[in-house]
Amino acid sequence: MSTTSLGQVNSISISFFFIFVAATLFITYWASKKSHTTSEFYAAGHGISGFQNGLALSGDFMSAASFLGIAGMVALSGYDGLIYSVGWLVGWPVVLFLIAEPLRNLGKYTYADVVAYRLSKRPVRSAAAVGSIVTVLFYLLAQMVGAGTLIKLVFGLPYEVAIILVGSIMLAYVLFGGMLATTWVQIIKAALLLGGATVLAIWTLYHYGFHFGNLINEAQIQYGIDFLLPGGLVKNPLDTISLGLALMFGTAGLPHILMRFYTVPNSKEARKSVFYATGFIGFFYILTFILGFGAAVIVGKAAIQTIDQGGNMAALLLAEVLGGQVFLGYLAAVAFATILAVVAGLTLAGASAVSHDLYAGVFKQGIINEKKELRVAKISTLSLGIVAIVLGILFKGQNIAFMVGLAFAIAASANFPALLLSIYWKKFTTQGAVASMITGLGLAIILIFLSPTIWVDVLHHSRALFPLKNPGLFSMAGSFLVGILVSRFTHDLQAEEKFAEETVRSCIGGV
Amino acid sequence: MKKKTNKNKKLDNFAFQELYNRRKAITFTLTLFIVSIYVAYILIDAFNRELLARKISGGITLGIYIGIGIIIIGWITTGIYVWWANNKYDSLLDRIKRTTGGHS
Repeated sequence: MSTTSLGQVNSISISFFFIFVAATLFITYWASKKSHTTSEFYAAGHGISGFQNGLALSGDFMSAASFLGIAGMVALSGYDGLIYSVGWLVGWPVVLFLIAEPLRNLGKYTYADVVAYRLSKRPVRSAAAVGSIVTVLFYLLAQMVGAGTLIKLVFGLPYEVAIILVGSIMLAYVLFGGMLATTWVQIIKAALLLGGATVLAIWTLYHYGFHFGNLINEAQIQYGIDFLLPGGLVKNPLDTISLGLALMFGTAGLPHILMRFYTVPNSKEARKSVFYATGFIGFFYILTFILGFGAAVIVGKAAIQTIDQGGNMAALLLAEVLGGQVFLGYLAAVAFATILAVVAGLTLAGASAVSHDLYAGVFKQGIINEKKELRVAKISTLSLGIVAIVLGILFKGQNIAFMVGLAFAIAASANFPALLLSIYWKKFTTQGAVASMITGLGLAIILIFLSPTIWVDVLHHSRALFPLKNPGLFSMAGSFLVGILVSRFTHDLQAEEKFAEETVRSCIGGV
Repeated sequence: MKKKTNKNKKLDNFAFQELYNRRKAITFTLTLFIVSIYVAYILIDAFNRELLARKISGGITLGIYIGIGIIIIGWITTGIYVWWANNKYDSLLDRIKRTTGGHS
């Protein structure tokens, strides 16, 4: 493949994108009429069905990074991409088994509601809000920088324009339509993405007589047996397990994912939504595996890397070769839409940590005026949107690939242990919770700073002070250990007394 | 008066506690199951590459079957739990709620 229209202004993809934006803004207008209370703004009035929430959850999770990144990774390193996908997926059963139900039954809008259920509200909410905001900021920054780069590459728009465009449209969704608009944007995008990826995978397989094995044999002929085997990713199994645990338990600590469980009416629907989400995400990962192999064989590794060293354009190039300008335009627009939707979900989660946890919970100590809280939520949304745009522009051209991994590591270490212990461990104390959250957050950040990802790749030192690329294993273990030890040496009588009640409420709801 | 409601609670809570413990046993076992499958998968990837290279049918290697298999197993496990919880568990819980008069 010698020519591609990637990087030029593509009128077809711009048309598709305009249709998407017009449709979603129309939905936002409709949602804005149903977005007057805090419950509507944060949780779409608890009126989303399990199936809809399943699609929206999968939409939150299938970011542009996982669509383009994993397909690219498979295209360039073959089997390793699948190991990654498995790690991303297995977090979902864990979310279902340990977190989804009690979260839905014990909280109102944020996971901090649950951690603070029987502990001292102010210190716990403050720490949990900080954990949420830091997780969201790193995730958001990664998405924004990725968005600017991607849009520049696909549409030929200048980086800064792309960032401001993403930031403004996203703000329109969240500010006016709240969680209802954000959820529907997620649902539409998930359907478009799954549909597009399915067509592309079928199209790829069609060229191989619908035998996946033929495609794999062809890849083996071109790139050798090593392409079908684990390679660089598992050179250090401890590193892979550490990354895997961060992905697994990080999913159970991501504020924007956890917040979705409040959009459904009860725990029955909450459970169903994880079942649907896991199905969609698993199906999607199997598709990206096929697309990666298709791109490697049909487009070729060399051609993919001349467009983008990291391979991120593999799926789009495959679409262009198979389906021409129109299909490329469609998928490029879907990738853009994907970023918009994920950024909107993140911003809403970050804003609710500020307005619901910090403002209403800590500053006003729970004595709240709903109108005021809603106003603070909107101001926080706007501020967070502006911060995201500014950071996106400041970090232009920076190597930010580690940031999603870091966001997951923080979620797994700062948020998940405290959430789990507060639900299941009677002797968990306020001091233990705060210590666990601070330790998890601090360890995750310090260890990733000293790890090869920043110390060597970004700061160009010769040897890393901490050997693993992802600190998940150690920062999570540290957070659990500190949480348990501090709780052992402190007493929280009120928390112990309320445990029985919390257990009952975690099953029957009614908070 | 407090004593009386406490006594009532104890009686009702016995059935509830049993059901809660059963759910906890199931969910913790399933979690352990998924985590061990995943860790085992990484260890095979790291220490027995040759095994994964074995072709099973028409060009597809064992490694690909295992990887995709774990994705499908993960999904089926959530399906089994959701089926159990939404049917068996919820109706047992409802029965306990009814006998305690709506609140426990």
